[in-house]
Amino acid sequence: MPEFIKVERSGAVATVVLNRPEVMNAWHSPMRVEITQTMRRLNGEPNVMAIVLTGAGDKAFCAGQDLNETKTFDADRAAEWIEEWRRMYGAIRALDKPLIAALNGVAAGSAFQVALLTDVRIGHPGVRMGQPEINSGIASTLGPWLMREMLGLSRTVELTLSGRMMDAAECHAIGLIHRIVPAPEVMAAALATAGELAAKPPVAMRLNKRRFREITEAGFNDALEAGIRIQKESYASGEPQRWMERFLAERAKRRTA
Amino acid sequence: MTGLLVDREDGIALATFNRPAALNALDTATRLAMTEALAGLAADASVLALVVTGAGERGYCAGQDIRESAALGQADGARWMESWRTYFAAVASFPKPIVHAINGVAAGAGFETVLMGDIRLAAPHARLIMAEVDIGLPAIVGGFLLKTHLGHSRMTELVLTGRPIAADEARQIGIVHEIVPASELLSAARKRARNLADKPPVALRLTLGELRAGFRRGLSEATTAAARYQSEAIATGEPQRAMAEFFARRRGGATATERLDA
Repeated sequence: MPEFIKVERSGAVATVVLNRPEVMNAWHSPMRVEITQTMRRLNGEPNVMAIVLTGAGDKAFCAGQDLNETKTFDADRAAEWIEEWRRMYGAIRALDKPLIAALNGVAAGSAFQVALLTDVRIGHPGVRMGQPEINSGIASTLGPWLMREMLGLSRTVELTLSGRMMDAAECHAIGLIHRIVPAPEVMAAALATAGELAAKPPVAMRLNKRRFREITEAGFNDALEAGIRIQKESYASGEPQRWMERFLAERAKRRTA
Repeated sequence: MTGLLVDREDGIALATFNRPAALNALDTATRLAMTEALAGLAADASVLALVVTGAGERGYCAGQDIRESAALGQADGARWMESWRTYFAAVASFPKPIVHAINGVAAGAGFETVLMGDIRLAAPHARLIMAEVDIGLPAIVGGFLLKTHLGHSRMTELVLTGRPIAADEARQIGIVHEIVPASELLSAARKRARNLADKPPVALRLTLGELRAGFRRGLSEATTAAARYQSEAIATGEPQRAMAEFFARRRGGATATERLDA
């Protein structure tokens, strides 16, 4: 049984719930392994025709990387970290079945990226998404690759360098969130869309999904290779570790204040 | 009676898909007629720009003729795609500006034809639909065109759901440039074509040439992939089944256009 996620079933639709609400569903290595294995298993289950991905609680879809893990990294661990993303993102990209994001709250950093790896994104007016890596001293390669596929270079550069979070209205206006519904209805809307996609002719669905993978494969591999190179250099400088310590200390101070 | 009407007036050519009872669906004869017409208009020095529209008030072009494609055998996929490749190549190589007057539903290959043009005007009731998935076919060329215009996120959602895009959404996301009342659509399109026809001809030719060449590179990869993907889909029998169900849902007698028109 997975410890950090929950898997639920409703007819032909499986729901994967990111389940560490005490840390805004942030992920670390063991949770990434669970997600990777679960996506592979669901892809092979003949009765599952669509998957919904969401977060536990009402604050966060997922805060992204658990900084308590990365603050201890050295250059070699940072390179291995990219391999973990390759496996998890690869398992999501390999899905022959549609994946719907039910955005129940904030999606930051790698969670923003995973949201962008889903096929249809449904959120509520309070959702915020973005790529704040720069603010904790982490260089970005996978985020800019995904954003450029969707938004073009102009918006990608501004979002990557500022690290600012976008609100739901902006995400919808630029095409990153496909539908906005009131917060209590996000899950129902996502399940309805998943049900609709689960009923599509499965061969055409599988071939469309394979084609999406095919047209983005070169960029994905390039971003991973660049990621290994850049994260090694970044972590060897000691900067990300220092900035994450500072970020975590400030957050702890805010919470006790 | 031909499925395509072509006339010329004052340097502007007008091509009208003319099978209104079938929402101007592109059967083989119409596709061939359009391919030939484009070659003729490209070579005709008196023609400076082209307007494309559909006959009637309901449809611009419903895309492939589903009755025709439903009758395809399992070995027909590659040959069928080759005839589409010829049609799309003719559109993508047309050396003069193309203005689309979208007077109603533009679906599938009709939507793709529209996305290969330069300026798109639409009537308020027009709808754009890429619902290949609902008849069991992967949308490879459609996916390329939508991604080029809209980016990966919007393309993915549209291709997988097959949902219609209303004219106002199309205007908002940028694939329709202007919404014009139906009664003024054709004259507005002619005005746009006239405006383009009056541009300095060398600059226009070179600009369009470069745009079309860049487009053709991506399109060529997509049509090659499409032949492979469509053959694989058709070999499973799924599209034929999905289309048969599609007709069965229409109680056997009605045409596919009813759904597009709903």
